[in-house]
This record gives sequence, structure tokens and C-alpha cells, in this order.
Amino acid sequence: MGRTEDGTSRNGRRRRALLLAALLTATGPAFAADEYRGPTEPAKAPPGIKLAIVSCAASLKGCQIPAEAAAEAAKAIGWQTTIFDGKANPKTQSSAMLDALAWGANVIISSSIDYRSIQLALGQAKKAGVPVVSVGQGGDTPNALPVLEPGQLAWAFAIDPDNLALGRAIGEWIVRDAGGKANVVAFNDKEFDSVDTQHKGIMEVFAKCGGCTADEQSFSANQIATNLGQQVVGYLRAHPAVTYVYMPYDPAAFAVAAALRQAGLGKRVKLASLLGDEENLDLIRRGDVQVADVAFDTTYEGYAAVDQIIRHLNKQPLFEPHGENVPMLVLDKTNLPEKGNWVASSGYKEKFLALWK
Amino acid sequence: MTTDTSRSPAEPVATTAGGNDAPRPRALAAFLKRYTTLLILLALMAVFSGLSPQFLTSLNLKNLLVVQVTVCCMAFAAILPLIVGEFDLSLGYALGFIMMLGACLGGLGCGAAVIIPAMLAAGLAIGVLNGLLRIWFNISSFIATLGVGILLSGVTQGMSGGSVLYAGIPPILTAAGQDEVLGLGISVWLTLVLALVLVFVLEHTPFGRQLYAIGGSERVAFLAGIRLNLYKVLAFAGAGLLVGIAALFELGQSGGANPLFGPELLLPAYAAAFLGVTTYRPGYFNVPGAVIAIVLLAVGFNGLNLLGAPYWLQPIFNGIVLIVAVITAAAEGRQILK
Repeated sequence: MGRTEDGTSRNGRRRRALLLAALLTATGPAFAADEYRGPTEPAKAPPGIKLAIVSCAASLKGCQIPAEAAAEAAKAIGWQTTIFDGKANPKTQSSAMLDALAWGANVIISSSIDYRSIQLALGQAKKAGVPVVSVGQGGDTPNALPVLEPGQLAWAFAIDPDNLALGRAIGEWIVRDAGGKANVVAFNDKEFDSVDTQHKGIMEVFAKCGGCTADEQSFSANQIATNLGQQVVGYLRAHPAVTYVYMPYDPAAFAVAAALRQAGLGKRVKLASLLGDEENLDLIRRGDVQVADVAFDTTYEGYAAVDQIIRHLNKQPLFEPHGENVPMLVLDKTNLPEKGNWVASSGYKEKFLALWK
Repeated sequence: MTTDTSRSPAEPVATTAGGNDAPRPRALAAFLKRYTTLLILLALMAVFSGLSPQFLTSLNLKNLLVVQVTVCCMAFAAILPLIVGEFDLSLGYALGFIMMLGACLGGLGCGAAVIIPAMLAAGLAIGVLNGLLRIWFNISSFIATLGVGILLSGVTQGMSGGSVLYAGIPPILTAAGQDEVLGLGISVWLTLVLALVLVFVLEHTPFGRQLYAIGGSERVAFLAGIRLNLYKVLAFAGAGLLVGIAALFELGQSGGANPLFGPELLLPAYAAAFLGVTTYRPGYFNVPGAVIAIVLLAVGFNGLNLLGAPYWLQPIFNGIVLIVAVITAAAEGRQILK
């Protein structure tokens, strides 16, 4: 899995020159974030579809925004739709998916739910002939396909940003901000495949940066509400040379920002993160510990999911990559939206709706 | 209808309207008190059936039951220590640990013949450890079991390496968790058998009655010659074993072990155990009452989901049901004391 550039240049000098060029120019992927790179082939929406959307947790924006966007898109084309709440618990997520089947769904969107923990529900959906489509959990192009155990089930297809590119983008921003001499600790949460892939992307960049030092640390999501802040503060006290902290998603970064502030480390280190949550962007606006955040458009994900579902139901070929090139952008103080989340301004909603007529 | 004049007026018999009907309202009141939760459940099912055509379908009811087997086993596990006046707060963590153990062994290439006994033995060992800490070291069961639980959560995360483990789960487990026999999930049938076994053990054997006697009054039980310490350790051990069974079902259903999963099932298990006190044997922790309570809460979740209710309505519903039922139980308890 993964794209590696190690083999593209054996000449060290050339590689360093390429890296320098990258450092000077890169703040994200090699295309304009607001450029529409989704499908252009029309796909007429079939009528009378019941679309169920199971959100990993209604209280988490990362789960709920794509779910609500998909519901908005589905309603716009006259489909019946309901959002079920998975309450951040695999058991409830499985139960909600079974409720979606009982509700009579023709298709189910699963928003940020791990297929490895809901095999019962996926099995029932398969029996009922209902495709389950994922948003926000990896496992399809442009990311690596999952390696399944015998009998294990996964998604019909999945909509995701390019996770490796997200990691690379924030890594390159850090290297550039540090003038090629970043001393970084990058935290990873291996529970989520997408996060692990993003982590690989960021570490790939640091590995190629001759003047950088990068350490890897792990944590789990349930530490966010308890001792994650202490863990990071403890690490920084033991490693006074570290000046950049990377947290793999915004809720964790938000908790860590508070801990760093309280520990008096807010001025010593710069915090970077991934997702583009509004509260984290506010931290950047206020110059409060966090300095950068690589955001991707989660509303676009919802629309892209409905687009691919229409193509699937019409038996048309799916758009490649299956993630439909979710827009992404590294945000810092220079390019933040005035308020709220970052949303790509390519007019994609109108473009999608036009394709579905 | 006719009046049965052959019976004594004092007996609770069926009478015509206007006759000597005093015993009948009393019997009806007793029945209503005993089965309040069941009546709420039936009323709720009637309401949801009226509002959602999908509610009373076999697919929905089948699905509704199959996802409750783990919570059911966890509630049974909570009940055993509660009967003898103790709490086991390690249940959720233990579930996560035992699932992770099974997944780790599966990843190492072990088969069902190793994994299933190992998971059950781990549950039993955790229960025995809880019991010994409570009895030998005289630590409050709150603290002892919480300590064991936190310890287990660390071991679980260490075993997982922070990842979800799913390789090598034995097919027999996934079949037990996901397949059906006679129109119901295999795990549902197995849970029903387990419930019947527990009802028999708790209510129809000297062992069960002695457990209830300890919970009623330790002093009286001691004076009656019941070996308090042994029975308490056995209650904790039984709880651990039941968590082991819950872990088998859950691993089979989910198909993998998440290092963060488990603790969130503690509260639903205790909610069901306490709600169950209002039904079947009012005032006592009991298995049928817990099962009815679990189905009640599940019906609420399922019905609201099918109606497309906003997500914040479900906890409000659960909270109201729990409070109403506990108030009913408290009133029932006062009645029993009188």
C-alpha cells in the first residue's frame, strides 16, 4: 500500500533539490484546492430510493457533517433519507445499521465507522442485498484497499480524501515553517486506518528532510478526555528540543492545546493537526498554540457518496478514484476562512446536482 | 359471565360486576405492580407499531434481539454480585480484555478449541481475582473491581498495539454471533438457554437461595451457617464467566476486537439490572426482569430510530424509563417492607 517516492531518484543531490523545491512551493497537494476535480459524466438519479445514513456519532462533526451533506444531496434529488446515530460505539453502530435495514433502506452510507467492528450488520446488509457505502474510514481508492480475512466483509466502495497526501501536506508545511530544521513529535492513533495512513505520509516527509528530527508517539482516542494532555506535556518536558507537535485529528489537538497552555508550553511549541474543525481553526485565528491544520471538505464527501451511489445503482462505472478527489488544503493564519469551517469554493454542489438531473 | 358461588368470598376469584369484587382489584394491582415494565414494553410496542409500519416486521424484531445478547449477558454478570450486595465495576473492561485476548490468540493462529476455553477461563479468573480482592483484602468491591478494570484496560491496549485486531477469529464464533436457526440468531437462542439456566440456579437451588439470603442480610445468613466469603467469591467468579460468554458472542458478532470497546457496556448492564428489579420478582435483582428491561430499552432505541427521531431523544427516553421504573421499584420496596 502507499505511494513511495524513494525509488524515483537515486541521486542524493537531485533528491535534495527536489525536496527544496517542494519546501518552497508546497502548502498542500499539487492542484488548487478550490478546483473542481470531481466527475463530469452525467448520472441520472433513479427515483424512489430510500437512503439510510449511519453516522458514527451525531455529536462528532467529523461524522455528522458528511452525513448531513449526503442527506441534503439525497433530499435535493427527491430521495427519502434518515440519519441514524451510532453514538461512537461499535455496538450501537451495528444496531443502527440493522435499524436502517428494517427501515427499508435501498442503500446505506456509513459515516466514519470501522467495518471490522460491525460484521453482523454488514452480513445482514449483504443478505438483504443492500450495498453499504463508507465515508471517512479509508479502504478504497485513492487509498489502499483493505486486506480482508476469509469471510470478512467491507464496503461496496468508500469515499475518502487521499490520506497519504493529507499527511504529506501537513508534514511539508511544518518543514517549510521550520526552515527545513523541524524538531517534531508526531502522535498516531493506530485504531483508525485513515489516521495511520496519514501518519505514514507525514513521517515520509520528515524522513526525507535532512535537517529535521522526528519522533513518533501513540495514543488512543479514549485518552482525549483523560490524560492525553498530560502525556504530551510529559513528553515535551523530557524532550525540551522539540518545537512542533503534530496531533492526527482536531479533537485530540484541541485537548492538547489546553494542556500545553496550562503547562506554560504554548509559546515554546507549535501545534499542527488534521481535519479542519471550526474550534481548531479558531485557535489558529487567535494565535493560541495551534498554528496549522490540514482540512478536507467533509461536505464534499457527502455529495461524492451520493454521486457514486447513483452511478452504482445505474450500473455505470464508478468515478476513479472512488474518493472523487475530495478537496484539501493546509490552513494557517494566512489563508483561514473568516469564520467557520473551510469549504471548497468550486461550486461543487451545483455541479453535482446538474449531473444528477 | 357467571358468579362462582362455590368458592369462599375471601379467595381471589373471578366475579361478575357488582358482586364481591374486592379481591380482584387487589390481584390486578399486584399483577400490575409486578409487571409494570412489561406493560410499559407492550404499550411502547403498540405505539411504535402504530407509528411505523416497519416496527412489527420479523426482520426488525429479529435484528432488535440479536444485538442485545451481549448486553443481556453483561446484565446477568452484573446481577450475580448485586444479589450478594456487591458491585463489579470491572465488567466492561473485562469484556474488552477477553475479546482482545481471543483476537490475539486468533492472530497467533490458535483455533476455536484454544480460544473459547481461554476466553472463558480468563473471565473466570478475573471474577475470582475480584472476589479474592474483596474478601481476602477486605477492599470495597467498588474500589477492587474498578482497580482490576483499569488494570485490564491497560493490558488490553498493550495487547492490541492500539489497533483493531480481526485476523483469525474462528468461524464457529462468527457463526454463533451472526447466523440464524429457526428464525432467530444462534446467539439469541444461546442467551435464552443461559437465562433459563440462571433462573433455575438462582431460584430453584439452595445455592441460589443462599445468594439471595446473603444479599438480604449478611448477619442472618452468617448465623444460618452460610459461608459468606465462599459464596461472594463464587458470585464474582460467576460474573466473570458470564462476561467471558458475552465476549464470545460479541467477538463473533463484531468480527474483531477494538481496544477501546467494553467500558461503555457497563452502564447499560447495570441499568438493565436495576430496571429488572421492578419486574417478575419486584424488589429483587432477577434475570427475567433484566431481560424485559433490556428489551424495553432496545425497543425504545429501535422505535425512535425507525421514526427518525433526533439523536438526543434516545437518552432522554432511556433516562425517563429508568427513573420511572426505579420510582416504581422503590414504592414496591416500601410495600414489601410493610
